[in-house]
Amino acid sequence: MAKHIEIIRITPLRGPNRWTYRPVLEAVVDIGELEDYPSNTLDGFVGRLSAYLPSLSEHRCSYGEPGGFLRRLDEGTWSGHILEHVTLELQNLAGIPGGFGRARETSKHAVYTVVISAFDEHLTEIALLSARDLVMAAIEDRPFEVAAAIENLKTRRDALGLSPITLGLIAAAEQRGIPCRRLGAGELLQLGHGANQQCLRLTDTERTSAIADGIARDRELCHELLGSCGLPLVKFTRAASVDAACRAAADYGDAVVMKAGTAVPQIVVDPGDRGVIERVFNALGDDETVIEPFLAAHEYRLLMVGGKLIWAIEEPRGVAPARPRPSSAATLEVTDRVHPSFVQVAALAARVVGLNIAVVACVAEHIDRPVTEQAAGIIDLTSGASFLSAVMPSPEALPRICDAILGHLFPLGTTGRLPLVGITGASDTSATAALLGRLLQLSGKRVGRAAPDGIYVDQRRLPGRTKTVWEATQRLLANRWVEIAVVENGTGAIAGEGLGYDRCAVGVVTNMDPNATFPQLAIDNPDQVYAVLRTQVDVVLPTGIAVLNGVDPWVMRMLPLCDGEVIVYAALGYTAAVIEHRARGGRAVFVRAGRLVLARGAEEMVLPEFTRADAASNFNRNGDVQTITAAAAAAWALELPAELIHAGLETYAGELAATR
Amino acid sequence: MEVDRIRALRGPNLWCRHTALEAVVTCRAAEISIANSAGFEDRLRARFPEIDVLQPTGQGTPVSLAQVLELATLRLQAYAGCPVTFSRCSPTLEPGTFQIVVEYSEEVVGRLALELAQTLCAAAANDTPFDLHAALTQLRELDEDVRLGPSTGAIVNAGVARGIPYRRLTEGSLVQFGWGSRQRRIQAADTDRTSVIAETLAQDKELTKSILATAGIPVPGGRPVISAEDAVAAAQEIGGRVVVKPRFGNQGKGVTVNIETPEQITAAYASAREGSDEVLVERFIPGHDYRVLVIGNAVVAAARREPPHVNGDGVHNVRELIDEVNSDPRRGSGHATSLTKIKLDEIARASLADQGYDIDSIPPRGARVILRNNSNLSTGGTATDVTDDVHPELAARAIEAAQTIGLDVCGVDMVCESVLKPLEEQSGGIVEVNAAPGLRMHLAPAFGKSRPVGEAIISTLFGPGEDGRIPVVAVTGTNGKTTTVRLIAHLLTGCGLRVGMTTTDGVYVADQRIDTGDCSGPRSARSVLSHPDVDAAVLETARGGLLREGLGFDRCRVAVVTNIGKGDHLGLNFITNVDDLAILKRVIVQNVAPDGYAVLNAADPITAGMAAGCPGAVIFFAADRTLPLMATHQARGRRLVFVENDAVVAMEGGVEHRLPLARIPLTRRGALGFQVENVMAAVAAAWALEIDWQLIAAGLSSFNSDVATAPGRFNVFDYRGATLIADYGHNPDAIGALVKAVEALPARRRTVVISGAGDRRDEDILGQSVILGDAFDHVILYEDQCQRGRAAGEVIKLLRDGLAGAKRTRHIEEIKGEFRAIDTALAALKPGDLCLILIDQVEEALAHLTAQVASANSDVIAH
Repeated sequence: MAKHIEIIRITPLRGPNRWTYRPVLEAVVDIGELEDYPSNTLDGFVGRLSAYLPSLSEHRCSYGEPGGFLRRLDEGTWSGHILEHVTLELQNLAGIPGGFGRARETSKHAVYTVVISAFDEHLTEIALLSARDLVMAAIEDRPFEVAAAIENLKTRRDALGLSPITLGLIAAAEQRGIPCRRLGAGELLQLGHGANQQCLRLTDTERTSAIADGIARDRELCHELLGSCGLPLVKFTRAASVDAACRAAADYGDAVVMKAGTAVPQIVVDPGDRGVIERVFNALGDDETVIEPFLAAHEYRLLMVGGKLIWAIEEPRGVAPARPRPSSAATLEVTDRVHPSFVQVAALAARVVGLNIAVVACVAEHIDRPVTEQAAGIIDLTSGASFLSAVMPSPEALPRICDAILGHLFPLGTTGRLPLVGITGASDTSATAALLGRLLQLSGKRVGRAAPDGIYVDQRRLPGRTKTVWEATQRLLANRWVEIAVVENGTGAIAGEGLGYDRCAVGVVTNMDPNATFPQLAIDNPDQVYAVLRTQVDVVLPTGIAVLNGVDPWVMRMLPLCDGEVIVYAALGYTAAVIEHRARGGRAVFVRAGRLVLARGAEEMVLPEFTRADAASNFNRNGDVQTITAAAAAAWALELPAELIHAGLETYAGELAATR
Repeated sequence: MEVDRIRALRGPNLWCRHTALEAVVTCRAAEISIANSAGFEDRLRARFPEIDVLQPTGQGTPVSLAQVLELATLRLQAYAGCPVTFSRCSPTLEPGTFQIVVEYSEEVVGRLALELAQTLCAAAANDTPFDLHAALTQLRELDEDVRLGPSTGAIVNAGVARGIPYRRLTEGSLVQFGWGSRQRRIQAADTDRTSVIAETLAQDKELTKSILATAGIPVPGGRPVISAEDAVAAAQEIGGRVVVKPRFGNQGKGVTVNIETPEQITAAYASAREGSDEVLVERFIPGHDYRVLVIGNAVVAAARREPPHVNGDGVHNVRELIDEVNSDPRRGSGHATSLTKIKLDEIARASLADQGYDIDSIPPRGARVILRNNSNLSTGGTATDVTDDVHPELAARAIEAAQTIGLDVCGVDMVCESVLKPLEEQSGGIVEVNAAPGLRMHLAPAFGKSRPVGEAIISTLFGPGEDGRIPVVAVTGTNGKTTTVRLIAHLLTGCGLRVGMTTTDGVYVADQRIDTGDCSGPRSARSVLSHPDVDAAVLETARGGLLREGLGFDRCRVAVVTNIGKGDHLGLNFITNVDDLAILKRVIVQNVAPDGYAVLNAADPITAGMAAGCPGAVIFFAADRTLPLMATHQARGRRLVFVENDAVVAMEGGVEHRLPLARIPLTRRGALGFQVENVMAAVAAAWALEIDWQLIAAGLSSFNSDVATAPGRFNVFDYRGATLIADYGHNPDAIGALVKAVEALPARRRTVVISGAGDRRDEDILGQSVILGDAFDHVILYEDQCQRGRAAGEVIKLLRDGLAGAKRTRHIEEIKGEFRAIDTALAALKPGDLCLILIDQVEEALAHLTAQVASANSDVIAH
């Protein structure tokens, strides 16, 4: 029997999952015969593997220090684990972000679950398959083109079309806790959710006016507007011929600068020398030539975001005639040296043109002295994208700038999140979600709900089918009318797709079926099911609340996992979990004598009896009590006033019966 | 006839409120009355019959050639379609020289009309031909070219109707509405809130569709294709008829609808590929083409678009039928008119071929011949207004589409059978969304009602009751303008407003000077009103700008006229006496907002007389409340400001506000009469602006008139125990006021240093030194920098003549150079003396003085 590593199934988990918070690729891998051949039993394998990927020596693995993985290889480890590390290293060498990996045995002999960070699931899939081929080649002593495999990954990574700027913005969003998603295949990003979202593309924001963008591109118009506000400007003349260039140069008197397109600007010290001008004119190429007076020795570019200076660079001008700037000149950062008067000038210039994010290019002798005391002037204003490319060599530039842009769009630490309720469990999730949706609508806000049968905004079902809960959640959160989101993501959805959001304000776990199995995902014991369901509690924000069923012991085990507060619900007030939780000062929701009780520690708010017969009778049906208390607890968690909770339960009691 | 000094008056001016051309026309003797030229009038009418009557019936005054020129310029514009009606011909003091004024709607058109009118007059005079048709066509085309297009024009007209000021920023469609910090901009149907992202998104039809689909909005199914073969494959996947279009594009270019066969699809792919690298194939939805205009969160208009077509009559061929349709005057060749001419090009011919016609075919009576496969107006389509038929659910989808893409003004294109039903009930779909949609089809649909889309767009910029204006105070007069302007600005700053100010020293925004020199004209005014950081504007409005260009704004909230007095700079620009000057200065009063105020000096009869021309209310100010004008005004319960019991008093009805002079340092406890006048004017203006009285009092007591804040306005220095006063006053009224002030100050001996600017009448220069001779012991005369048309020594001689019978002057010196004159005066000063220096180069002289004073004071300290 030949040795093989067979990849049985690949499941992309596109959100928080039972393994980790980030998207991963989960692979079920059958290593067959290799189960009997750990790494130390394969002749020369470790040496060949190290030769293919020397950087494996960095991997820490369980030893927590570089070289840890190599030690494990020497001591003997199995192919699933090896596959994990090799895949991670291929991704690393290809510059693909993410370094999380796991390999676990399953209950089936020789079958493992291998989990890898998936910045892009297609890339990771390719990396996994390449890794498998590499490992097999090392086992069988066959050649393997490592460099080609890495090149392939790099090419595909580049084909994703994500510029470093976009990657920087994604990273900055993560730092600030702002949800971020790519829209389409370009650089368009959606930041935030629902009605709080803002779209962003490089340095174009939703607040970047198209008119302002057009004004900035029109240098003549720009100068007119800026000049009338008294801003200092660098004059310019467009020259279509050598004669025109000479005339302009003569007008400007002293040294002039000649520019064209993206060519390096040339300085002409003697504007009366027609020969030099002609040479430079021809050398500059076919783009239209612009002549400017050489006002001052230094050129600066100031990046202004929301009226604040974020980054400034100096680009020294060549002094001798027609000497090009050295192309490798690192652009010098001068942000801290810029005199406040220059910041004021740049901020006003951006305001006059109407750009919230602008790069102001100017000349000055000394950027650290007042603008009025020297020869200085603005050349033009541009959008930020080209500036960002220019400053990228400096490692702090991109992160700081991306952070500033996001801070401008989401001030004061806002994140663009919606109040989002995630509901999971073995049963009762649909009824709870539907009832909760109804209750929350009473707040006057627009409620969107993602359910297995579709997406609802208020009570209207949106047309179109979605194949997965994850997809439905994305559509819901992309919808600009949604102000509160309720997502019903059952155990199967979390296990097989991952959550559709990174964090939530309220996480509800209704119950767990310890006997549930998902054979295709190699989930067949209660601990694994628990790992799936606890994800809902793991992602609750520190400012958020977990709503947990006090009667289910598995669910109660999740109580300490929540970063935020916990509300325990149950049918009966003397359920042990409720009593213990209240003793700690925690909140609980239960029913006593047909009336709903909202308790906080020792205090209680008892809602009035229901006047409608069917509402009251709901309390008598066990299943309904669960739903009602869960939904009421979640609504309370979102601070819906008690009167509205009561009115909602009263009014929508009829619907509850219908869903049964 | 000579025509020169042609000026474009770009704002309200002394002749009228409209924009107008002004020119000076010099007629030869024979041209003063055209009756002298036999047959001239007949020849004129033969060439331009529409010139109409040259003067009212029965009026017997001679009609000059200048007048003919004036009327011809006006009527040529009118017949070319310009909405102009005002013109005037005014004789000047010199016989044969006239000033003509002709309204224009577009400056270049007015100028061209003036040229053409001259040509017409010459042709009539010399009996040479004049091609009227060509002239009118030229004017019409130029006007169409430069005037605002129909979309932008509709928005501007809506703004004007709401009293919102506007200004074109380019020759295109970029317009600023409102002033200062309240300004907003549009560019055709784009507003300054329309984001770049939304526009880029709207241009990507595939991404748009997928985003709309995600939001649950009905869109036709389909996908991008990479080749003609792929296109055919995609069509088969869809099954049925399809549409092939470029992924990026607009105005229907490259779009082919309702095709099925591989041949058609291949051809359509090629056509779409021309415009964009990527091509989409999507399901063809049967039905009509609708454009729903969403502005903000409402559907403002909806139109059904038809492709260009002709209806056969069994007689004419296709080409003739097209010509007939194109002869409709509503059809122009571009975007400037409400409809566009049908083009007979490759696409049209292909469309004809599909129907079995060519351009020479004669379609049977009633046959409908389509000439294109899309209904865009820009290629000759027509629109029918269906706004009233739109179903609320359909409207909701359109609004959702616009808001999902993020466009505040959006043209949503949808295809469905009818707008009477929701899209979902008729398998209709939204095919694309458009930024900056054309408004023509809603403003002037071929069939149906016009819709107020301009008003809707203005409403997204300015809420109900808002007009984008900031408080504007215009100040004019002979004396005291600059101090009054600065004082008003100071009071406004005290309210927390950022003030933009134009004076003869420069332009200031929030206390920072952004422009130097004499900035009292319309250009500087417009700059201030366009500055994004200005919350209120105080504009010194001098005669020069008013004559050259008119006002830089349409209306002001408050107009202040400090005085006319004996006038200044008389003899220039046909302003020869104070009455003429008054007519000029009155312009700001005539353009006060109906809910605004004129602040007028009741003690100056010419100024006071301007009250009649004020559309708003009047506040009179004068030191003496018993003046008849003041008493009458008070009796009527109107507002007045006067001085009583060492306080400036503002009174309305029975209510009084007192501002003690002791707490107004500018007036030196009331000793400086002319400053008290300035304070009264400023207080009245502040009152008109509804500034709180506590803030007015606080502002007055904190206002310093020193070299920094009011250079050249009564700046007082202490020099070795003597008092130095530097001032820029240079007309008899100013000198008179200064003398009065000086006489109120104690002094052992009085010296004055004076030059006298050359651009004044002899009698005015003389008048200055006459006044001074009675008040000063020692007079130092110097020749100033700017002789302004006088020979060397001429002015000094005039000044000496004025001193001939001086009552007090005992010692006169002549010095060359301002600084030397100043130094001479300083050298002779002893403690207790007083020296008044009438400076010419304000900044330099003050700098020199300040330096001298500083070094003298440091000497004192050192010793």
